[in-house]
Amino acid sequence: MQSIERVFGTIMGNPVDRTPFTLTTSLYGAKLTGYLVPEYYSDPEKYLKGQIAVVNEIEPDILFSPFAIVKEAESFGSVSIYSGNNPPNLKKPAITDHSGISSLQMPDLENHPSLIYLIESTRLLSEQYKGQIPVAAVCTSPTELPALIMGIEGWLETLLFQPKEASLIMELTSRFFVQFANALLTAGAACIVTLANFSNPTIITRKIAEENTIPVLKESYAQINGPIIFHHGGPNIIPFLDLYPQLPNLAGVVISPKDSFEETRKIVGNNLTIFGNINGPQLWKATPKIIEKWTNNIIENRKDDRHFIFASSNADIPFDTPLENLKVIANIIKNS
Amino acid sequence: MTEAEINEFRNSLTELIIGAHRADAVHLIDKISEETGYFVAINEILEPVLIEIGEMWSKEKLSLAQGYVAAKITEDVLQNALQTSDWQSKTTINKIPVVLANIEDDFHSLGRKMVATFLQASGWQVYDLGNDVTAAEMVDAAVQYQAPIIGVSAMMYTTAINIRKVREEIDSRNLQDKIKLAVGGAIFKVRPELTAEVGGDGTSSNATQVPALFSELLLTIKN
Repeated sequence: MQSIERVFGTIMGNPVDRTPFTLTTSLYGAKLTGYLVPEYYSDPEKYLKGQIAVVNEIEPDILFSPFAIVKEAESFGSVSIYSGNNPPNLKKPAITDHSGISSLQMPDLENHPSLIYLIESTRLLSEQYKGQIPVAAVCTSPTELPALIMGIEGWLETLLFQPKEASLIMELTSRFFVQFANALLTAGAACIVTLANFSNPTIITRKIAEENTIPVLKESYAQINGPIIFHHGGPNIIPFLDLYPQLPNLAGVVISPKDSFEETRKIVGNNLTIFGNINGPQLWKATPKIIEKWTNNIIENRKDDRHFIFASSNADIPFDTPLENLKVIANIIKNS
Repeated sequence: MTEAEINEFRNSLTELIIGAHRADAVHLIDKISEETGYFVAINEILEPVLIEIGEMWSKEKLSLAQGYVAAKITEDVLQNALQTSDWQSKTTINKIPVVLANIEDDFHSLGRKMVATFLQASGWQVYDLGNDVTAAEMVDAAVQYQAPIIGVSAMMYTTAINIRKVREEIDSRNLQDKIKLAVGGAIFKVRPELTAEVGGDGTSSNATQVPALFSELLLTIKN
């Protein structure tokens, strides 16, 4: 069975030969190929080679487009910074408060170098593994992108105290999200993974989620021409999880290591695919023995769940993670 | 104020902060201060509420948004208090100076600004050096202002490890008994062992609990 059949068989609830798995190894391709991180995140050919190395070593059932969300914000004028062996991070937001929102322009998808890189990397990767391994394209949610355009402080201040301006910037980021996500799907991505930290209870209140962010997600998700996987990015989502299953085009949710599979299943029902929940950022310091235990526990817990994909949760797997630690997971699952 | 009134005010303020009602919360403190003065209103009502908020936040019962609202309310109240002679006369003496900064290469200022607000409300004299500050600049400032504590913030692991340089700078100048190093930021919650790794003398799980941490660190200073 090809990975693409295994993954979509699982999403549709059909019998598959084994549990599909994926690890967030966007950055890890730079480690495996020896490319400097800044060149890896600016040259689609190098990104492709990095992901080919990931496939050769780990053989995941899903690959990811570049997990470098600040590159989306670069197209609005934000400035990023590289530090050590890490993906680019926000250095200077395009604007710092709500007064600058009206000056923001819709980015040009076809001409901005950061967006060209993200779309072209997705296209090359999708072509390379066409009919074999699905590519999940990473795309920042329209309720999250403002934090990268105006900084977390600027966005919190606006979201909490400037409702008119908050709507204005989310109108812009929604338009961008729809165009960009659909461009990634046109480039060959099999689905979109939306990052939405401003959807989880450690960042916002339930009231903000219900009144401000969910309506925006509903409207924008409805315009996406493919399945969406929801990634809340935080330590837990259970308290707000009941708000999300109704989102249009939603095919799955990524839960965190702190979230319970049982509770998640109870809340989302039987048809939504659950992704999770080994702790990706912690894999660098765990021993293979401990990782083996974590993996077996998750597999055992979900053995009867037809809508389950084993995945690393939280952020990208760190550069310094020993390859042996990732191979432990891959071997257990491939032999399960 | 009677004890019952104090409790009632504290409960009301807690509810207003949790509900993100910034203007109403500030108005409540302003009203109380009309009778008691800001010094009492802040010390008897706002500060205990902030401690409670901090505890709820550290147990993940509150969100960053609510912590932020608490900081903005504190900022607004302090701004009003600063204009009164009551606050000025009671707080201008014996303020202990502290230095705050984001470590070099770190540009995530939200946490640091919130910490500065809560420290000021607790009577500390804050020298905020801003983002992307080198170890030498921080220690120079601490020496200049005679600050016994440097509070350093970092959001990511890659920038947090630069805090080691502050530890080395303090130690190389033989100031380890006179200047304590407090560290914080999102990454320290994810990797608690990082405090020791970068040579921090202490950390706090959120901004509202930093004044308590600084008070503890102050007790460890050797004169």
